[in-house]
Amino acid sequence: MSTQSNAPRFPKWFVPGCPPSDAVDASGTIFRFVASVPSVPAEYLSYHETGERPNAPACQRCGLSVFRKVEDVRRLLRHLWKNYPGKSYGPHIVKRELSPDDGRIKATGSPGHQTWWAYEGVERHASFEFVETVQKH
Amino acid sequence: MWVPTGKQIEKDALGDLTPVEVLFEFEEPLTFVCNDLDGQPLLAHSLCAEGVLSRYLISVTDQKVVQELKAGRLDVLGALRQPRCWIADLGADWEVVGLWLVPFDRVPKDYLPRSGAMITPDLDPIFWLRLIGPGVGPGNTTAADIRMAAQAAESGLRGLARIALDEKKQVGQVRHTIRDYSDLPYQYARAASFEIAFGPPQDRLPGVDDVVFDEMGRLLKIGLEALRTNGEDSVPVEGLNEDQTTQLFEAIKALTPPMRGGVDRIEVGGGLTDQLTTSRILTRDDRLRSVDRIKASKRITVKDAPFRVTGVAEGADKGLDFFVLRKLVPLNIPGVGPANEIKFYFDDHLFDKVSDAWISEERITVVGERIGNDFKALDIQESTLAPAASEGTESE
Repeated sequence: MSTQSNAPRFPKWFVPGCPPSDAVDASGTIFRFVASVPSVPAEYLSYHETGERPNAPACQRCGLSVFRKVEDVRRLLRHLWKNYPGKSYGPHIVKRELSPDDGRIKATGSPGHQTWWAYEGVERHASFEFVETVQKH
Repeated sequence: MWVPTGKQIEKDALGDLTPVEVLFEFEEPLTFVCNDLDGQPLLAHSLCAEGVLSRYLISVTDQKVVQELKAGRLDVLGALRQPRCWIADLGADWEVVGLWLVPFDRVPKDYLPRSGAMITPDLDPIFWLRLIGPGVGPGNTTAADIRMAAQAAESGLRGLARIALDEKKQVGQVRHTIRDYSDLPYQYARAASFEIAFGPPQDRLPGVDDVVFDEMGRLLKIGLEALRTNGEDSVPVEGLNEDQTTQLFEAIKALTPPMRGGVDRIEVGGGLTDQLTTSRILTRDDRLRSVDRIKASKRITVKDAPFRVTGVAEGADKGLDFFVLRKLVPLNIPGVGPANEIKFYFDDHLFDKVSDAWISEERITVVGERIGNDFKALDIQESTLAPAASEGTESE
């Protein structure tokens, strides 16, 4: 009799040791900025999948950038627009609830920023709701 | 990606551009220090990206510039603006794929950081204002203009903070006082078009301060919108009572340029203005409109004759925009009637006197007037009552 496990697992293309062992079960509300609403699955691909940002930390490239507080997203967006106007960020903020079945999460990079590593088969773009559009000046 | 205007040079001319100190990152290093072939520091700043390529502006730098940048005394644009700079296209593992020597003024402005943008969000000024007009610039801006700029910021922010704190206090959300949100620490100034910036309070209350500043920003937004859409209307701004509406237009008026002189516009910016959807440049027309709105609100306010009352302003109110006078003499005040205590609002010119009264808790005589249900202090004088009289009242 086979004893195939139904335990969730991460995609095989994740780099070794990713997510890190101190990442915790995903839970609670997360926010993220996107270019288009309603959600387009392509915007929820990791940089590892799209091949972009090759110089980002390898394990973070396998996950998605998320935030716990909407004000952190607003603040960061405005900062990015002011300092890096040639790059494309936002302008829409979306949110969704995470549960342990969705993967693992950990604070990474600058304050307020977290990386969410989704288990294989999790539809990352699903369940995201529009919160607001941040005004660009 | 756009083709850099400059001289394409050998890809290895600057050496390895791997970051040695990352100054700001989001998903990848966006602004960082790297070293040239001689080990001298270079400042790299991300301009744009396409596929696996990221394009950076590279400028010569030194430790002093980096320190100023990290301390929030120099903006990113100022740090990057050097006579000699390069555009570098970097691929995976920081491999230099293309390198151009370019004059700084040939870098497309749409890709450069905005003036005043600091290296990290927490260093961005809370508020800045820039004087604009024929009388502004090196050799033209006068000491009076500079004083006016500082006063405009302080007075305008004080008015906004007063309303914001009134609202937050009702739900017990704040511990700070008005001055903590209006008398902000100087951050930097620029002479070319006189600009002065203010940072967050020294003694920060994370979370709480953001809520107050957000509310101040919202008030500025709704005030400017109301002013510019129906400037002569005396209807209170939505969500504010008549008194708060007047205070809001007083605050906006404080930020507008004077009707005479070489400063005819004032641009405002910083985190406090992030919510603005109308122009950030305040004009003399905005000043006239705010004066009209203030006059309109005052026309419908009935004032009674001034009265005098002696009492003690207790230190518990320290830092607020009002004081409560207690231990009153007389207890039955002409024009007011019997009262145990009176809450007086006061204007800025009385702040030092009120402050003295709070600290000393000695008896003072207040010349006040009744405006509707409120009381306003017009003057504060030393009490003419003998100390024995006051002590006697207290012991009773």
